[in-house]
Amino acid sequence: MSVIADYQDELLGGMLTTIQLSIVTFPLAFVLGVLLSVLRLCPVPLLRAVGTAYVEVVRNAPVLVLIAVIVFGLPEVGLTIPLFTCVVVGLSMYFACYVCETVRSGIRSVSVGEIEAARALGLATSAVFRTVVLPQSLRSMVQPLATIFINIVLGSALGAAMGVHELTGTVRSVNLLEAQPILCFALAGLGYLVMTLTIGHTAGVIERRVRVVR
Amino acid sequence: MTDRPPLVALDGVNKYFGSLHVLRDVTLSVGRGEVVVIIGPSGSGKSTLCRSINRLEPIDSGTIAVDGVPLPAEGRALAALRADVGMVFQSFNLFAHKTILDNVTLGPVKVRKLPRREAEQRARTLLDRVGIADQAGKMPAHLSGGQQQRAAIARALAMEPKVLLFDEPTSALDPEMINEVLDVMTSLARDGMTMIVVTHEMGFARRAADRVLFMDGGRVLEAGSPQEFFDNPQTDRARDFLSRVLHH
Amino acid sequence: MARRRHRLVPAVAGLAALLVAAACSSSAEPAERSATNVLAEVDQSAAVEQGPVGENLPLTPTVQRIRERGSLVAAGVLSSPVFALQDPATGRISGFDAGIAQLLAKYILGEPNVETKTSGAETRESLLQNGSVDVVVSTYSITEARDRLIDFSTPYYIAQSGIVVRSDETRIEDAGDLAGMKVATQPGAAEEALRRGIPEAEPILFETSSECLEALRQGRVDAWSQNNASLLSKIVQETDVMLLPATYGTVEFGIGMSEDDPEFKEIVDEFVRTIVADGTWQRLWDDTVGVVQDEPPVLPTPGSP
Ligand SMILES: Nc1ncnc2c1ncn2[C@@H]1O[C@H](COP(=O)(O)OP(=O)(O)OP(=O)(O)O)[C@@H](O)[C@H]1O
Ligand SMILES: [Mg+2]
Repeated sequence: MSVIADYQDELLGGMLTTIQLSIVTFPLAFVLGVLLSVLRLCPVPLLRAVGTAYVEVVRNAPVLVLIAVIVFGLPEVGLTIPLFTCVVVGLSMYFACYVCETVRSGIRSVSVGEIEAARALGLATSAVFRTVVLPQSLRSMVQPLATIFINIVLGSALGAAMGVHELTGTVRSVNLLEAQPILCFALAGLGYLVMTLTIGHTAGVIERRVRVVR
Repeated sequence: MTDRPPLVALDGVNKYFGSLHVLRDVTLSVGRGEVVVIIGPSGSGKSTLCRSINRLEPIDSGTIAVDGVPLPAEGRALAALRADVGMVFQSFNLFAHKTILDNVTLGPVKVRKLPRREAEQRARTLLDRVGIADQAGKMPAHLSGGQQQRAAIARALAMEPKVLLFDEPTSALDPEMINEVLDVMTSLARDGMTMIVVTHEMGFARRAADRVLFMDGGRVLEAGSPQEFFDNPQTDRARDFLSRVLHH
Repeated sequence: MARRRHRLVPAVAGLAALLVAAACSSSAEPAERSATNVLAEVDQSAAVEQGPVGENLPLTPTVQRIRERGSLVAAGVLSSPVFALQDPATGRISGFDAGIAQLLAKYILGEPNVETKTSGAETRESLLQNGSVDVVVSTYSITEARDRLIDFSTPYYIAQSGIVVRSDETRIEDAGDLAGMKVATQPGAAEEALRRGIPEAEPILFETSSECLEALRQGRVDAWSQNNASLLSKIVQETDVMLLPATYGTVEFGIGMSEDDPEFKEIVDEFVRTIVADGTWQRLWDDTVGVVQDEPPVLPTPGSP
């Protein structure tokens, strides 16, 4: 137990880094994912192809390789960004694919009849998207998006392999010095559990508030 | 009925779904304040005709004009035209995430740029007119089918359209709710609203229609006053159809 | 068909772009791929060939298990140059630790049959405790904390940490100068030595030593530190970085075993004493670490526990 007291600052610091990684990554992945879904749903074949190519390529590459390309590849073309940013960019690029797919199926779940009704009222295509499609699909996307957020939290552990000392890396180091694996990894598990449960609970609250009764 | 130009004019309209010829040389004009009821067997192209008038379905040849203006292609002009052509669907299609009041104010606020207060005032008047003033704050799913369809009619009326299209507005309703919707439609007809109604309700057709159109196989086979049509149909197909629906 | 190709072309183009980017950064690959000539010389097989076979070994539970299986299951790493590095092309593992594991297998079985289970530093004790592996041979530093959980053999190696900096570096001359600096290192033994030896430094962890080197070149870190033999092996042919003469953090590596079989520990201790005494240890060192280093470490009174 003294491990907790001895390494309190390190452990809290690691947890904080994990939280920072996730909290910065999620909105970026979301925005990028929505843009991708717009590409993939847009009527211009070239843009649709770009969206599809992005998703197919990035989703099928291991995230760690993606992050490694950013960490070690970008400096080759003269762009050296901090490791923390590299991890955020890599995770965002990767999870944007899942956001994109979630948004797409969310949009598909909106009733065609309601879209026609909005068009029949004289709403322009963009207005139909904003007032009917987006709000309704967002609501059906709350839980899938929460799952993506949770996966981002867990995926942020990859930062440990790329010089970002987040929760997993910290716990690994503490264990390296103290050889208390059970305690150390129970602590990490607890840390992740607190974060993911918070996300799950918040998603539940949001979903209940915005649920569309059918 | 008057010598003013027709409000809705179709001329030689053809429409295909792939190789399926759904509308064949349809020519039709609907005057201001006229109520036209379209009947015909399933698959005869009634919905397609109705939907092509506000270009929810594009047509392959021929022309459609509303109030003298040919239907524009996709874009702002088309949106503006649609604002003048109200539509009521079989399955209501109320916006599930908005209250009844917001369903009715959406068009006026977003399309007509009416101030919200004014739009709400108008919406409440309309909801009162269709008999569901007390439901304004509820979500669509909490209303009965008849109430939802009346809300949908109010939503269409809120745009102050020149013409209202109805595509089987009572087909999805339980029998006991059909009349509350038909009553609203009858009173609209009496007030001079121009209406094109696809329906199987022959009573409504007799009561409210100025003209009845009989469609089969994508063609308008007969057109006449309700009396002429119901008492003395000209074609075998119409007689056959009527005998089936009337002795049902 | 034309439709299908339509979708495929951009996907392939995108993939190609990604691969080019990946190829530009050789170190983005997970394994140590940049096999320098030096590392190609590292080969423990001759030493293993001449290694001893234990006689009249007591049939402890662990020995019995190993003999029934016909192989020694050892936890180790595959990314530690000169100690245990896997050639991704052939799958062969070469290095000092790889040799120790094979010698131990030969000592017990008569054949150098080793089944290597890769494990992170965090699972080594657990793997021993739950019997998933027979031994850990993995630049495994002997520490008090670990000794409470498992048994260590008598030390078979003494390592020192070295420091590599960019050739134009002027601020760093010895270990003390690393305080407050970003220091690249690998998780496990190297990280441990750094954290214990220079607690004020900020370790920046990368999975492979190639990545550490690349991070140093790119200026992401101020220095790179791990055991100096591994460092040497990676930089002999590089000109833009240099190994400082200064070292720090002397640690002893031991073979890890479960506490459940104390008699087995005696066998392993005897094994270490035997290979030191009969020259096998020296031969192994010459053919592995000795390829890059001049002087072997002096073991603490060879063979005494
Ligand atoms: N989107 C579509 N794609 C392909 N075929 C269609 C489509 N919509 C309708 N059709 C076909 O066009 C023909 C006319 O359909 P329409 O819906 O206009 O008939 P209807 O007279 O309204 O029939 P109902 O009384 O069943 O509603 C039918 O054969 C129908 O199967
Ligand atoms: Mg129909």
